[in-house]
Amino acid sequence: MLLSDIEIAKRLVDPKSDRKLVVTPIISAKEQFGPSSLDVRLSTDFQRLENMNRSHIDLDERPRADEKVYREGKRIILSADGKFFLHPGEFVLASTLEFFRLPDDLAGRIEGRSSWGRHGLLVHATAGFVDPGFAGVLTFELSNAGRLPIMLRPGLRIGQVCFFQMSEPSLIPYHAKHLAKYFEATTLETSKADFDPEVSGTTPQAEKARSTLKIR
Amino acid sequence: MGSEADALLSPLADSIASAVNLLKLRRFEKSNAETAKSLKENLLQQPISSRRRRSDEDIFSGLSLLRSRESTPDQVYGALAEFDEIPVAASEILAAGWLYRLSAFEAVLVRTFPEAGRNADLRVYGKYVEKTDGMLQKSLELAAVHAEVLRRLAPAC
Repeated sequence: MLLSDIEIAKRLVDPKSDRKLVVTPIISAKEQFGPSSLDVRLSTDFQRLENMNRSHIDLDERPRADEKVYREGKRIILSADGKFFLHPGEFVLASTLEFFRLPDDLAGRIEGRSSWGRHGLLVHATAGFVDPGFAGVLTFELSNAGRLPIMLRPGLRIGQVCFFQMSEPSLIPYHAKHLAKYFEATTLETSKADFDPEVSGTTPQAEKARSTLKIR
Repeated sequence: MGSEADALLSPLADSIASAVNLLKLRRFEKSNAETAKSLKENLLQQPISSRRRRSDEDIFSGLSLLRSRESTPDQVYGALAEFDEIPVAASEILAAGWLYRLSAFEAVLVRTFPEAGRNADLRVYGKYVEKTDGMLQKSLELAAVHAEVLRRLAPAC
């Protein structure tokens, strides 16, 4: 069941802690609440994936520590009144200003806003689903499908999140998963596909790296 | 540990205060300290960049009065406006961070050194530092962007 505006609002202040939804900050509820969604804003950090000196993406290649920074691309952190120009065909990672904490019986989905979509702005490439039990900022996979650069600023409402009530709470919500790679992220995080066992294998070193994700 | 810190710092408070006041910074009032104390409670659960004017209980009661097809848009917007958050000062966020550290440090050390100092698991301490720093950094970012958005939303004079 898709939650309505008032159902989302009630979840934000639900007296039962296991039903409570956290979305913070809500700066202007009148603008942010839609009939069945909540608008989300752009944060200050961006990650541009570099392609210089890289022929392709191969997760089997284990980067040295000094290469990893280069491979992950360039991090750009704007001031609160800064600007970022997204050029046609460009793909960058960014994140929501809002921090989320979903209860175990709510799932979410992030989508773009029509007004921005009409300028060619896409806010996610494929991964728009938010698991029940997730906490952290959501990642935007921004790309410009238009023909003109788009100027972006922190605080702009470029996306919206809708919430689905599940028929029953998840038995293994995101926070309890054995490999919750992006749990409680407070800033955008690049791909951690290299933590997946089918990529990194099950060597003691790989298992040790994965075990750090489980420390709370 | 909090009381030991109090005992250590209290005799120095006046001289520290006079040195800080020479910098002509905005005074950190008792109300700021109270805000920091209340923010501290949520630090590990969410960023602490802002607060609502009314309690969750009050807002929930207001929402419960609304009825589908009966409440007017003005009534609904009025109830939703209670969700508008007010950004807190950076000094309050940082003070909340220090208060949290003072209150949590001992428990983290016990988890880091589970066998009285032998076989320390420094990853536990690293995760604690990473998590609290991450939340504080995000809180400062949110407060700055929040203030900037409000500045843009304010009617031009």
